[in-house]
Amino acid sequence: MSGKDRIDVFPSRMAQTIMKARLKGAQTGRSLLKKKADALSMRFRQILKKIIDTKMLMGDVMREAAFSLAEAKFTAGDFSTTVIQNVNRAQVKVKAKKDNVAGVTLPVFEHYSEGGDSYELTGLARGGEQLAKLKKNYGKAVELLIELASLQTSFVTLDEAIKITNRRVNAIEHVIIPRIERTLAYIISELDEREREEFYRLKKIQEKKKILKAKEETLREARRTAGEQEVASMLDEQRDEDLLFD
Amino acid sequence: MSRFSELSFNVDHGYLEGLVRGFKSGILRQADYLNLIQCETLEDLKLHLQSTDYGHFLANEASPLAVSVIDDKLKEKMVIEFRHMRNHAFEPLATFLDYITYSYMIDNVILLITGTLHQRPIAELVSKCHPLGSFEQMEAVNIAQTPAELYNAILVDTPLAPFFQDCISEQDLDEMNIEIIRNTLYKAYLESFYKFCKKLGGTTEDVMCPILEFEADRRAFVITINSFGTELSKEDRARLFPRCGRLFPEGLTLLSRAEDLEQVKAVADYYPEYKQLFEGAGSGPGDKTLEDRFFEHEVKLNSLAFINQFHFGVFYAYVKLKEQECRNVVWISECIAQRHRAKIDNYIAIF
Amino acid sequence: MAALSLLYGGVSLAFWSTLTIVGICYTIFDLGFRFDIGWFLTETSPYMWANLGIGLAISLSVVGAAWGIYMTGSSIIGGGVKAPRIRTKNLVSIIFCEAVAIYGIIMAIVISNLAEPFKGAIPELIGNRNYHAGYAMFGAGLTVGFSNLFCGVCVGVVGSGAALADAQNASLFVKILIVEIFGSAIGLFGVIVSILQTSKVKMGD
Repeated sequence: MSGKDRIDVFPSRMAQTIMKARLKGAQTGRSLLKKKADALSMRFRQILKKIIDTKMLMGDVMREAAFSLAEAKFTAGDFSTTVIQNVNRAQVKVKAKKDNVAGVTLPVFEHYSEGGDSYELTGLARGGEQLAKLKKNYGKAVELLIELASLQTSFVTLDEAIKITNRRVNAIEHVIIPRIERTLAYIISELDEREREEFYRLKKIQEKKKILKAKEETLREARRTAGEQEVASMLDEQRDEDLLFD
Repeated sequence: MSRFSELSFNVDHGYLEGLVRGFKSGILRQADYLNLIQCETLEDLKLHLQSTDYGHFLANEASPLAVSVIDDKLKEKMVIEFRHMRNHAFEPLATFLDYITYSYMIDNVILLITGTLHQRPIAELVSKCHPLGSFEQMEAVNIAQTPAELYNAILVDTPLAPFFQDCISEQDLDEMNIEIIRNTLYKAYLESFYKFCKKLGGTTEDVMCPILEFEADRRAFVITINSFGTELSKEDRARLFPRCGRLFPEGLTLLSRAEDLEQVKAVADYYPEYKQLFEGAGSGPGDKTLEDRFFEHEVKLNSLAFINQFHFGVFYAYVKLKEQECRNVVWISECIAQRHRAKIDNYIAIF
Repeated sequence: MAALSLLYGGVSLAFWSTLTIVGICYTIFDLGFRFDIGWFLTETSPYMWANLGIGLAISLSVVGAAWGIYMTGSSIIGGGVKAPRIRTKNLVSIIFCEAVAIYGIIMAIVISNLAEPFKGAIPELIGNRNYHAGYAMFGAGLTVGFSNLFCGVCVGVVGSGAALADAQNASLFVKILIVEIFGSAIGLFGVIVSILQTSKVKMGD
């Protein structure tokens, strides 16, 4: 299996160079992604901590807000229906902004209040003090809720981003890099093989050439002993004899 | 009626007076409250309430009790008692009882006007009105589409029309702040009620006038304090003061000029009984707020009404005390439901 | 209320205007001598005074008793709705009111027993004794009548308070009952005085 899972390339020096470059690239990418994942998870942990804090605070603030509603109802009677009927537009609105953490865009919600307080006269005759307190407490609660909402969305987005990055890191680390490495090993082994063949062939030719040379030497020696002086013509031989494949 | 009311009072109102005093003995006492605040859950509260005059009024409710259900049931009980009295009443007690309902009616009318201003379905609004303040014409309210129509077609026939006439014309209905309308109406109502009690004379006058005077003065004080830091101008504020209390006329003039709490306190210093209330009030966590002090004083005045016999004040006092009791019970149940026991003692004990 | 006050106003206006007109006529036409109290007292028969006394004694007492009973009764009914235990105990208050009527009836019987026939028809023949008897009976009747009327009202008011107080707090009943007994006693004073008034009465020839 492992031997087969490699990039389909022709084992050549060229391919080896390319593969080496790719390996290098993959390693750089991996370390970069690793850094990004670290940055993200650091941010993630920060947000998680903030969420926990906010949620703890939220419990208290919501409790206080709900309680001040009870307090206001105690003094001012049941004013909720009138207030509900009086609503025509939202007073506190939410604006979405973007924040960039290591290339991940995180939505950040910001609240802002628009228009004046249209209920400032509610509870004029009784319970104004409690109502003011109620408004303040619920304002705080809404603020916290918005903060919590923005934290939660960041949390989810970051979670996703971290997962993707980790997946990429793992993919590079455990799939791509081994594959390139295997390809490289294959190329190298192939090239080695080829070199050895070449070497053998060269040896063989050398051997044959040695034999031929010896024969000729003996022949020449024989001739010389015979006294034949013969000058070899350079143009005699038409072609080299094939030494290897005959 | 004006003098020796004891001679003829019982002819027409003796039964109802006996009845209202019987109802009054059903109002929770300090011992009952001490039992109630010991409760851990709303179910315990229900059990404790069963041993009081309330009996099994929560028996048919499904088990996870909500505070709002308790609130509704308490209100319902009070309304049933009040309707019973109203149905047995002769003149002038009938008019007197009607006057008590007018204050609830004002709230309902304000709710209806607000609703129509924002084009809410009226049928939905009617169900949210206080049952004590419901009036015949309320069923017909859904024919009106605009506040002006509402006034012309419906409100002119209600007993509230004179209060409207006194202070605002129909054009104002659209523009004025709803709270200002409410307070103007309430002011007209208080003055008219005060006049009515003066006319009745006798013990009724002796008992009711201090209560109404206090109510008027309390409104003047509270409106002044609450209007600090809002866009309500001093002239508008002065127009909301009921002119039948002890503060009228010097105190109200001084109040209309006041700019901060200290000046209000200075005004109260001229009146020994209010001076006391202001002195004990604070905004710290352990202190009672000014409103609480006012409530306590109101409860005291109302329970004093039961000292005298042969007068109508007991009916008013009973309704007000019962209302306070509803608020107390709801407060205690809120405290229990929200597990916020630190402030559970802030209820205002009646007897 | 408006109709009633209009009626009262009309009646009193008619009364006073008649009185004024008659007075003016008497003055103008010199008939002032006709306004003669002594003549009225001597010409009126002692029987008339005696029977007026009897009537006033019983009727005013009954008015007082009735007044007290309705006052107490309506309060007992009202208080009894939420506290049914008060209904039997507070019948005592009703009985106290009833006693007032009984005083009246006793005195009416006593007075009517003293009214004896006599012969004379003109003032000279009737005699001092009979005149004294007539006026004494009338006075006794008034005494017992009014004292019982106010006693009845008093017991009624206290009884009504007693019923309501009992409904609130059962231990108050006995204390208020004592007040009620004292209230009821003032009727007896009237009875005693009227007995004294009639003790010298000797009607007849």
